[in-house]
Parts: sequence; structure tokens; C-alpha cells
Amino acid sequence: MIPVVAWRNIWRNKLRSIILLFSIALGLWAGIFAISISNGLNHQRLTNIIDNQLSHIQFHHPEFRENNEVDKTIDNSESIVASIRKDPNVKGISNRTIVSGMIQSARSTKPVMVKGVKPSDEANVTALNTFMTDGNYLEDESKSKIKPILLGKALAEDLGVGVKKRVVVKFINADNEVVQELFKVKGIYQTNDSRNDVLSVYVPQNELNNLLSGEAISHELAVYLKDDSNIDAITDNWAEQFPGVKVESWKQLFPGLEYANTVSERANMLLLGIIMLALSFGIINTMLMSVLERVKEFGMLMAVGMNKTKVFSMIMLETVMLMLTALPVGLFLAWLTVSILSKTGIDFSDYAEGFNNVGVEAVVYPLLSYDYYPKIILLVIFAAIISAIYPAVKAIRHNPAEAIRKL
Amino acid sequence: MKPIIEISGLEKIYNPTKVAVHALRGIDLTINEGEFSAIVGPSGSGKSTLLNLIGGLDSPSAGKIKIDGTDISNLSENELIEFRLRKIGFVFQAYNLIPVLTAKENVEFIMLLQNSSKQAREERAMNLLKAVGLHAEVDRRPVEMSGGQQQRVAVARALASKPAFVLADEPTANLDSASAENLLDIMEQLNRDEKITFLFSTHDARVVKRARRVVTLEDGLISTDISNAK
Repeated sequence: MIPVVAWRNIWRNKLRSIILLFSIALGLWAGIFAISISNGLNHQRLTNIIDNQLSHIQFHHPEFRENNEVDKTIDNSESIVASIRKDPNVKGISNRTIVSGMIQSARSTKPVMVKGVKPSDEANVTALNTFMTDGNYLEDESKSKIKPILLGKALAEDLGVGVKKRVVVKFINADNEVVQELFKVKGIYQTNDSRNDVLSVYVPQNELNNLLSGEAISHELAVYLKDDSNIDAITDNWAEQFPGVKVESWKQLFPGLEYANTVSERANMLLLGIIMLALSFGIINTMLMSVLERVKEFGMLMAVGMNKTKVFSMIMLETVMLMLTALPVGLFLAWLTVSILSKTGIDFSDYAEGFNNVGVEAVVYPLLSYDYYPKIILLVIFAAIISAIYPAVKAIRHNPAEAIRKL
Repeated sequence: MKPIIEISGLEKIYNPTKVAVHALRGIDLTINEGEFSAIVGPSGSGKSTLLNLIGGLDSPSAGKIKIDGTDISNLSENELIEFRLRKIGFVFQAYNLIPVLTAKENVEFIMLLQNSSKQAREERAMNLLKAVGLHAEVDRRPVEMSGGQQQRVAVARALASKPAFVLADEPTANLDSASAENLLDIMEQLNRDEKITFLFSTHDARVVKRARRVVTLEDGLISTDISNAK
């Protein structure tokens, strides 16, 4: 019967309880929604980097990533590619030759990372062909007399060039000689990450290899998986299978990305914790009002034989019940909002440039994994218990003889 | 007659370390089983203090209080709560029912604290509400009842725990004449038929008129103790 009394006590002042209930529900909704936007941004940033640049797993010469030296090539790259292609987990693999250099136009000179790729393979890994804003994507068999090159839109603007314009690319070849070559802009691409667009230029791999050493060399094999849930096991397996090369997943290639995810998750829970703390003060205030209005009643209950533990439990129960009533409302509102907006997205096109500068699209899709819900429920129960303690202590402090005589 | 309340040399001093107020200055009193007694006296005479001490709601500065053979003067707070639950029925001036419970639930609540079974609770609550003439109002909440009806529920609640005696603090103070007379009729009948001991603290002449023993307090001492067998 005590739970019945507690439940009915909540509704003694319906308006007050409903206002509190909605403030808890709205607080929860706001917190969860903010978390889902943050998660969505993070997820998009990570997905964009993996999909458009990194891929899931990369192979390199063990020392290549230290200085990007031309002679640190992958031995037997073609046989590794052939073997990886047979793996059912693999969606695509791109064999890349990479060299640091300078690109020069009539207007200016910029540092770039020249990436020699097989166009059709690269399209399967980074979907670069889908980001063309002007001109055309590279062809596997180029018929052009002048070597073709793809530039990022931001870089093309800096250089003041467009499609069919010519640029000179300089770099040091395998013999430590400076190579200078004329390229014709075949296409201009724009990904969601302007930082990458200003740095990476793409040319056919065979053309770049001819300029570097005349041999079919490879610096990087980028693999895109169909399903990345077993990425760690797959990486370990390939590392064992190909001992002469360094095999790393995106987590190892850029540990900061994984770390940023962890930090973001903790920050999200902290944000929710702060919201719950703020709500807790509202709950304490309301419960305290409720307790002070019932001093006489608590006096009577203790006088007739209800011990302090039971009175304390009753107040705790009232608070927890109030929170648990608000919880499904807040969770439902949040779930509904996230479910709808995760499909339609939230359009921040007016701020597209800013979003692209940090590697995300201007349309944000909120995301909330189901892992969050139990954490949120526990946080709410914890907040309810903490909020209830002070009013409950206040309720049992009264002397029953004095409390009964209170007006 | 078996003594239910035995008080000897009872003293109560408030603020003993500052400005001491002697509320009770040495009370000796015995209330026997089946009595229908009233404690009367002007404001400040020590009536409420005596009632609080008898009800185990406060502890004496000196002296002893035995209820149904148990000395409650030295019981701990938790032991006192348990003792009150088992041995004392309370009826308060302002009814003090739980507003969110129905009449039947209010009566059952005390038995719930005693861990009685659901069936036993329901049966006894119905019987008691019938005894106080409220069998038709069992599902009404206090706000839906008159003051007289609420006080009758309070009497039923006080009897629910099968106490050694019922302590009624100004039970008729908030009632109109008809309701007060009706309530007193019920209490008298319970006293007569069930041998339930009632001890009133009152200013009300109607209660004094019905009481078979009237103890008058003045300045913390018993000034008169008059029994009139009826």
C-alpha cells in the first residue's frame, strides 16, 4: 500500500506534478537530442574520413609513413592485391603510389600529396568519382597526350585554374632527382572535407610510376570492407598473412579519431549529467514543497506507528516514481525526434563552409545508439535518488508531537 | 480492574539548561481497563504534555509511565514507534486521515504497518467502519466526507491495531453538536460493549459530561480526580 500512497501523493497537486514531469521530460529530450546531434556529427566525420580518404585498412612498407619516402614501397603489391580481392569481406582495394610535391599554376604554387591511383579501383574505395563538380573523373586507359590530373575545388581556386587548364607538378623521384611534369586538369572534385581537397591531387598510377621510377611500384593499399564490425580481427589476420608489410586499421592509422569518439561519448554523458543535475534542483524544490506541506501528516504517520525508515522510503519512492513517469515521456520524445531527423537530416546549408572545414556535411543526421538508453535510465534513477534524499531527511526530522499540532 | 496506564512521579521540564519550564511537576495517575476518562484543564496546565508522554510521543524528565505493564520511559525511539503501533490508538483533533486513501484504506493502513494479511485487514476494516456507522462510505476519501464522518474513520483507524487504549486529543473540537454527540455515542458504545479504554484530553463540556472519570490538571499537577459511576 505504501507504493499506492506514494503514487497518489504525487497527484495531490496535479498541476505542480505535471509541470515538473514535463520539465524532466523536456530536459531529457533536450539532453538526448543534443547527444544525438553530437553523435551524428561524429559519426559523419568518421564515416567521411573512412569513406573518402582512409578506407578501413591500409598496407604500407613498415617505414613509409614516417617520411613518405619514395623508395619505401610495398614488395609484391600485385600479389597482395590479388589475394585481398578474393577475401569475401572486401568491397574494394585501391593500389596507390604517393609522393609529396608542389603544384604550380600561373598564379601560385602549393604543396600537395600526389596520389597515383587506378581510377576504377579508387572509385570502389573512396567513391572519388561521385564527388566531381566539374570536368570528368580519370579513366583507366587515358588517351590524352598530356597527363590528366584531378584537383580539389579549394586547391583549384587557390591556383586559379579550371578544367582543361594546365599545371606543373614537381617532386623528387626514386633517384633523388627533381621531376617536373605538365598535367592537364581533367576534373575538379569536392568532398566533405575541404582540408583534404586542398591537399590531395589524383593522377593515373602508371603515369606517376613512370615519372618516379619507371617500375610498377606501390606505397599504399587501401582496403574498404563490406562490414567493418570485425575490422580488428581482419587486420590482425592480414598482418599475420603478410609479414613484410605493415597492416593497420583506421584506428591505428589515426588513433585520434577513435580517441575523439571516446572523448565525445564521455562529454555527451557529462552534458546529460549536467542537465540532470539542473533538473535535480527543480525536483528537490518541488519535493521539499510537497514535504513541508505535509508536516502534520508525517507527524501523524509517525505517531500512529509508521517508522522513520518507511516514511523516508515513501518520499524516496514518490521522487523515483515521478522521475520514472517522466522518463518514458522524455525517452519517447527523444526517440521520435531522432528517428525522424535521422532520416530527413537537419539542414545547416547556410553554414556549409564551416561544416566542411571540420570534415562533415552540412546536413546532419542525429544518431543515438540503443546503448545509450540503459545509461540514461540509470542516470535518471540515480538523479532521482540523490534528489529525494534531502526532502526525505527533512520529512523524518520532525517530532511527531510537534508536527501534529502544525497548522 | 487491570491497570492499563500507570504513572508515578511524572515530571517534564522543557529547556532544562536555559529558562526551565516545568510543564508537569509530579503526576501520579492510574487508568484502568475499560475506563472512559477525560483529562481537563486550562491552557498551559500540562494537558498536552501529559497526553504526549502517555502516547509515547515524548520522553519524561523524571518518573515512570507503564502502559499495559511495559515501562515506556526508557524505550528507544524505534521501540516507542513499534510500541505505539501495537498498544495505542490515536484520535486527533483535526482527524489527520491520509487524504489520498479511502476510509477503508485509512483503517487498513495501520494494520498494514503491523504486517497483517490482506484478508484480515479488509475484514477488520469493514467491521470497524460498520461499527462507526460508515459501511456506506468505505470507498470515500476524506475530502468527500464531513468532519464527523472523518472523525469516525479516525476512531475506526485507532481501533484497527487492537490497542490497549485509545488516546483522543480534543476529538470533538472541530465538530458541530450533532456530529460531536454522534461520535461520543459511538465511543461510549464501543467502551461499553467492547470494553475499550478511552482517555480524552478535552475542553469540551459534552465530553466531560459523558466521561465517567474527570482528571483536572492545573499548573502541572492534578488538582482534582473525580469519578462518577454511570
